[in-house]
Amino acid sequence: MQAALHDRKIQLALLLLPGVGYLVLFFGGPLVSALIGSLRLDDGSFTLQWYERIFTRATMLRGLQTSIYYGVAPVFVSLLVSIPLALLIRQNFWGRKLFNGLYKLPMAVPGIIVALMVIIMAERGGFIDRVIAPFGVSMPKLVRDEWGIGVILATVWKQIPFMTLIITSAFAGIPEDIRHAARSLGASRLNTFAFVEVPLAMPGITAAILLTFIGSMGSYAIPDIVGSPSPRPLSVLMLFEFGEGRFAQVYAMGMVLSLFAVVVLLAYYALTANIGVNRAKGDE
Amino acid sequence: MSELEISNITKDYGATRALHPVSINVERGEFVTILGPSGCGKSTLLRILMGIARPSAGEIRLAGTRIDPLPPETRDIAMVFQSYALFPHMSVGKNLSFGLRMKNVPSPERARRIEHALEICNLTGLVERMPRQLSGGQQQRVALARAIVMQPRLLLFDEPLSNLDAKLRDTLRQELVYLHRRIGTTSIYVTHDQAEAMAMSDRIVVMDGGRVVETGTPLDLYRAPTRAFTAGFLGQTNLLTADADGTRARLPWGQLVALSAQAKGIARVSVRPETIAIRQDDTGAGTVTSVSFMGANALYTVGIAGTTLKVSQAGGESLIAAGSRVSLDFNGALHLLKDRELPEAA
Amino acid sequence: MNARLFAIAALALSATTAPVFAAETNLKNLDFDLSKVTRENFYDIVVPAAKAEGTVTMYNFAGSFGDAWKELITRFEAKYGIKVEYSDVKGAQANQQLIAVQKAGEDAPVDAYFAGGGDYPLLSSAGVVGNIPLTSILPNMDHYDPAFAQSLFGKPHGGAYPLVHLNQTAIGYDSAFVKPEDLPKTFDELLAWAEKNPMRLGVTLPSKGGSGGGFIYSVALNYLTGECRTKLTDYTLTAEQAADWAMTSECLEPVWDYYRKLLSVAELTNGNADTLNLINNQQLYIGTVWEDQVMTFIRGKQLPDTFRLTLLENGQVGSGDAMFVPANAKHVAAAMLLIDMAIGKDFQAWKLENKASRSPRTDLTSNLVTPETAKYLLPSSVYPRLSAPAFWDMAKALGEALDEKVLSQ
Ligand SMILES: Nc1ncnc2c1ncn2[C@@H]1O[C@H](COP(=O)(O)OP(=O)(O)OP(=O)(O)O)[C@@H](O)[C@H]1O
Ligand SMILES: [Mg+2]
Repeated sequence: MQAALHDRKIQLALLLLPGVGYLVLFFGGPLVSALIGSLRLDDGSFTLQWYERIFTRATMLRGLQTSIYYGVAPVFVSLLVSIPLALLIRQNFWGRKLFNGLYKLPMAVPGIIVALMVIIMAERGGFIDRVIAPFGVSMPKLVRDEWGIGVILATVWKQIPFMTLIITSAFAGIPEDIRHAARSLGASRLNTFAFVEVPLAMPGITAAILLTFIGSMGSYAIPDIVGSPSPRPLSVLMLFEFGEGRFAQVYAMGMVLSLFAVVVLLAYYALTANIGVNRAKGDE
Repeated sequence: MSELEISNITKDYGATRALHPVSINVERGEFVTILGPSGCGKSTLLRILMGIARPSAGEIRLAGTRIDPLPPETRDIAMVFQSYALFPHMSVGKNLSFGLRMKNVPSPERARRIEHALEICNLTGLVERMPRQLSGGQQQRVALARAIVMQPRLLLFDEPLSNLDAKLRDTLRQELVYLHRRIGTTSIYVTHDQAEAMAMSDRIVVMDGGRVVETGTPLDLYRAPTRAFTAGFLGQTNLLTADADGTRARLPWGQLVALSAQAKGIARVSVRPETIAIRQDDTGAGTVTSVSFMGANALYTVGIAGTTLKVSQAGGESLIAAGSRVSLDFNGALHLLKDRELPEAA
Repeated sequence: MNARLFAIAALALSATTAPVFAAETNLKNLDFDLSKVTRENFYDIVVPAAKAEGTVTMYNFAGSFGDAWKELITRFEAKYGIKVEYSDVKGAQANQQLIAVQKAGEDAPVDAYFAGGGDYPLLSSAGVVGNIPLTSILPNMDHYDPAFAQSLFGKPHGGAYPLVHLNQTAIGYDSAFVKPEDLPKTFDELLAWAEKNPMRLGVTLPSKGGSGGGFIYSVALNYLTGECRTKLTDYTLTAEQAADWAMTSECLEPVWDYYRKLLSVAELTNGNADTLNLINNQQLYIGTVWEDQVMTFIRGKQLPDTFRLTLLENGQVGSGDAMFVPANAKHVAAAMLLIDMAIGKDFQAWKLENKASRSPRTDLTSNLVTPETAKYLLPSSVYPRLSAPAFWDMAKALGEALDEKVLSQ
């Protein structure tokens, strides 16, 4: 009896091993080692100086703000494009198949290429500027500009396909009958969209927001090349610190960024738990 | 002028024609069932009526007004879906008030109508529930309440009971009939279940392959179908070919029977199993090949002159054993079908 | 007998020129008697040893130098028949790799490493640099600039970390837009020019490009005096001490003030190439640049041929990169031979002509260069007169403090 119980515990442990092991190995492990690394001086003694630097240095604090800004602003712009795009793709129009394939292309383009494209095309005096110069117009300042418009547009260009893809499938997941039911109950197309489709697609939309936010907050190639030299987001500062060989500082900054992402993730869970479409939930 | 006039509606999906020209008239307050096998175009017709699909050709008039060019939200028609199609993010109350809000019904009236709809659909007390917290039957009642709260001119039902178990289906069917009697809204009900159609409808429209086969009251269609398809779809039947001369015809095994109408040459007839009387007769032309005792009646299959007939005998005190020779009596005139050919196996 | 006498003489000679630690070698894999090598017997001893080793591995940290090293390697393999295994590396990563290998006592993956001049303090403190008095024993270092022969940017290296390439930060301008009489000659004039021509001067962000780091250190050299200047040029400071001082010292107020004024009328850029690109786009007319990178851009048609260089009065930072033998290198003799050829007059002249790479050789003058190349180099009126030695740890410290004190305020 005792042995059997024991056996079952071992069995359970063995069963859980692949999942838990994977988490520990590929997620927990690096995280813990980064955490330890961020709390050490070169001689191995404990320190909080790397965190202190993040929260006392103006450069770092502005970096954190800028990271959040570069995370949030593109998401809003992308949403404004992605939702109509997702609806458009649902329609039947001439050349839809081709468009459906083409619009996903930016996903395959690495951030650094996007950044270089912006520099070549949209820099003042760059390709577009030279093309439009004969018409007496010139490009606004998109590169190194104060508001990071260039960074935002480049990020948007890159994240729209991914966002659209998720949002499209979120809308596609709504049974057709539900849309038809709304129409049969007197709702116009617009009202059906606003009161039925958007709320039902919300889990997908918020997931898209979350993923693109975390993605663009962590991206560095675009802000490094296209963004203003000051302020620089934390990701770019991290790269600089890495180049300087201050690995403990890099770890500490990584921990702060990760912590922020986790907080956002938890907020997301809390929010979506209240959007009562979670069908897996039992009766209350 | 009928309340609803469907004239020559066709629907093509690319090269496939889902509806051949279909014309149906429905009178005010009538409960009409569209009955047909899966894929015959019932839902397509209903969706066209609702406005969520566009007809390829034809016209629809509701109370004299042409509605086929109108968008669904302006049609004054409500629909109950097979999948219920409740809004999963809204409570029962919100589901019911959705349409009223969309139509700008003022709040006090809204409350009154919702209460009324909840009551007649046996849903009182469930207003706050979310759809996922309801049983299938309750969900379907909410879908029904959500439609009738709109007080539409026309109610459409697309196989609303097909996802429920048999017992619940019976209960809800009765509730629906009762409800219709109470509110009297002109209704079109789609089903492929002939029992449901016969139990509920004022009139049945039988469809097959995108065409209307035949229209009539349940009783007429059952007793005197003019099509082999109708006869076969509404209950059990025997389809026979006879050699007619006037109102008399000779069956393949020589037996003479009366016909419901004049005919000459090859005549096709439908004979319900319960209209045939079976009698043990050692010199009879038929042989019993199987017997199944069903309680209230017994079902025989009889082989006779190369054909197999189904015969139902009510309340028999004693059963005729398989292998016995029997003779058959046909009570009353046999119903002549309009079909030129009979289907292979009925 | 003769040979023995010669050896003793050589030993005596090297003892006078080479520093003390040349005797106690830290080289792990020596396959010949290094202590016996002199400039005179170098090829006699080293060439056979190098041929016995058969191959040599070389690292290059500077992306723009690939073609120069290809040229060197072709010449080297043709002359000695010794195979060169060449890799482009990222400086910071290769440094860490070598430090780790050294700690573990393993063989170094590289024999001759072309590394940043500013990396010497880091590499030497980890014991990575092999103690070979290269500047004293390589025959081709007989005309080596004494300024770099024994120490580099204030840190003594005893000849083990010799620069093989010098580069110069400078002011670059498009002469199509900047008339000779308007060309700034001092830092004050540069500010005045920028105020007259807003957003036409590009200043590289120090932490994103050496031309910016050199510039901020040059600004400090120009405006600091007395004790402040002494501290600024105190090469004994560690990186941390420099950072502390830059972040806290009142001395630097004139520098911050200069930058505050300058950046209100100048464009701060994201790197050396970014500055040059904006000049090529005719958005900027003057910018902070590296002399050798300008040549690369000119050759690649990424700068107009009206582009010219100058240095500001009181001096701008010049720097250089070294080639050294790691302590745990496996092919020491071949590595020494490769470095010897790299510093040879032929290759150094080729490098100047093609890469605008300046030389630590004292016998290599600008008149060895074709006129076509010469017009893109710094004119001899300012170079080397206005070249000031770099102090990269301090420049970095100033760059970070700039972020903190000026940019983030
Ligand atoms: N969107 C569509 N595209 C192409 N063909 C369709 C489409 N919708 C329906 N059809 C076809 O039209 C025919 C009629 O379909 P419909 O849904 O009206 O059948 P039904 O009578 O409601 O069947 P069921 O009882 O199975 O619901 C079928 O052959 C179906 O395949
Ligand atoms: Mg259907």
